[in-house]
Amino acid sequence: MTRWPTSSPEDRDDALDALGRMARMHLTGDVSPQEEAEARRRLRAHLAREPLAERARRKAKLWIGAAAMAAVVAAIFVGRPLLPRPALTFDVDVPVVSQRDYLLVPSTAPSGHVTFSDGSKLTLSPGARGRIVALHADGAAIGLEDGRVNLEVAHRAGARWSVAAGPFAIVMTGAVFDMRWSGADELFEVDLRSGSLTIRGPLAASGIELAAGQKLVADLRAGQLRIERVAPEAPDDTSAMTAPTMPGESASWMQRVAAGDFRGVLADADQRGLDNTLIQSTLADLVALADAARYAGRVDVAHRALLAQRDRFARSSAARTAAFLLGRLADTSESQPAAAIAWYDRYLAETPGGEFASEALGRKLVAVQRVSGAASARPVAQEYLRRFPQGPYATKARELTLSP
Amino acid sequence: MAAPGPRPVLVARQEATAIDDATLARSAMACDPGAHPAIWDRYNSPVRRVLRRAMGPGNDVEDEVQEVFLRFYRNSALLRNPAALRSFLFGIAMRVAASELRSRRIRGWLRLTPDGALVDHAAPHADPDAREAVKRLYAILDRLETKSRLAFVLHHVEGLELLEVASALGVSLATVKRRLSRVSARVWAMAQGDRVLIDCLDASGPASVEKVQ
Repeated sequence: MTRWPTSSPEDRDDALDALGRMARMHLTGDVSPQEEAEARRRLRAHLAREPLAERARRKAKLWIGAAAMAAVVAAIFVGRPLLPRPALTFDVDVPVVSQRDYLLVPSTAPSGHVTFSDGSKLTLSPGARGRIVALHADGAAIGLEDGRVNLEVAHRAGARWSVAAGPFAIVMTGAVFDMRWSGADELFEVDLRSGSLTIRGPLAASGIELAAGQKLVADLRAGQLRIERVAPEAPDDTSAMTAPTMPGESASWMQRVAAGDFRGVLADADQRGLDNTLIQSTLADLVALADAARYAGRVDVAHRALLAQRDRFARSSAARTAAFLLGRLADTSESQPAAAIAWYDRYLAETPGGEFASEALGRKLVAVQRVSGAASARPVAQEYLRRFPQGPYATKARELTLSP
Repeated sequence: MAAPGPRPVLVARQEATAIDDATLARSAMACDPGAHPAIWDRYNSPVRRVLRRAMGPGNDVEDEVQEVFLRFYRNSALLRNPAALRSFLFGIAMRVAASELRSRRIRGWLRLTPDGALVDHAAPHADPDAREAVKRLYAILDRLETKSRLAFVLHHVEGLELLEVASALGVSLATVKRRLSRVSARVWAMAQGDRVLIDCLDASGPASVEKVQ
């Protein structure tokens, strides 16, 4: 629960204004002079072409007419190969209550089924509700509003299926999986039985590819995403199965972290022995291990992996960044603000103009205020304003410098 | 369809800072060749900004910026109140944004073009927590219908007064009030369930703590 007072619409609007201010600071209209010049050049080029637009439209109409004529001729003489293929259709099984494309299974009823004309099948558990958003020749787009479903997508060449649930979206060509979305709990789960799919959403902005036997759980409230390994179904004869990894062909830890396999990387490290891993691993593996541990909430492992980067690769930029990350760990996960301040200081001393300098100083400001009070934080605030007058902590720093 | 007037050409920049909006707009309506570059100079950044705020983080809006100024060029004769140049441009920007948001929604359903995969135009030195909070705020806005989203963005993010919001959206003041009341309640209800947003709110608002105390 927020500390903002929200008992009245005015209070609520104040809180929303504060969120809006944050977005306003983040989303500016600034571009570099080069980008601005390029945009100006583009507009000039558009304007120069403008009188041709009408002529171009007429020309395009001629081409469209010619193409339509060719399609009709081909349809007559060649057997309609150019006409679009029909979109899929679907049948709804009792007890699915269907209002056009809206699907609902009463919570007191058994599971309901939707069968598509390509053989794909959607099973809705009791209480699930959703919508067939679009049907096309190669698949469908499904929206899950709430509840648990199972989708078996028949694998066909060129198939395109997607499922959206809350802020998450899944795309696949052929797969069998269970998924659950709870809007109330902001919890999203995908348990992939066979095939492969890609998930995008708030904690997976660049997309996470899930392989058969993996389960993704995203808890938006906790801001956590984890991928677990569950026993995959025995391979069947469909070509939807992902090719298994061959012995000796393993993805790097970096790649696995990028794919969201945090627990797999940690399991590997445990299997090798954490002490040995920290002593023998390459810098890239140590960075990947620290990331995997941070994302999976293994604070102890993250701490040790970051310290190992600093001990073994002291001159690397990763070692300098590790100081900042150690500060954040101490600050947010270990509740040791004094240790956090020391790490932020070390980062700022080693990398005064570093990528995280503004954040390190801002976080130090907050930590000092928490540990020693506003009077002690004031010099830090002044330094922050001198170095980062437009930075994200500038408002707080100004308030601190103005407070009695 | 009326024949287009003489084509304005973006020539050398004029010293237009001293010229007021009404004069600039009247010059554009009269197809003064210096007017359009001056309007571009004055408003390309605000238009880009309001488009970015309407579309959310992770969206390149350069095509939309171009579209806004092209539409302005084609329709500047329709500007009834030259002093309202800014509102006129923002109105075009909102229509362009609405159209793109609807297209994006359809593309999202059919082909999945996720926000996060695109370029993030974060402010320099942006706090990662604030960046994440902004993404989450826009994930909430992504769930709203376009009209409500734009009203919310113009009022709470862009900071426009209700009358300006009404003007930019081309609706009455009463409609804006009604729409904002509904959408604000909905956004706040969703935001309260998001720990990152609430933490960021608390962290960014020491004044609020004082209020409670």
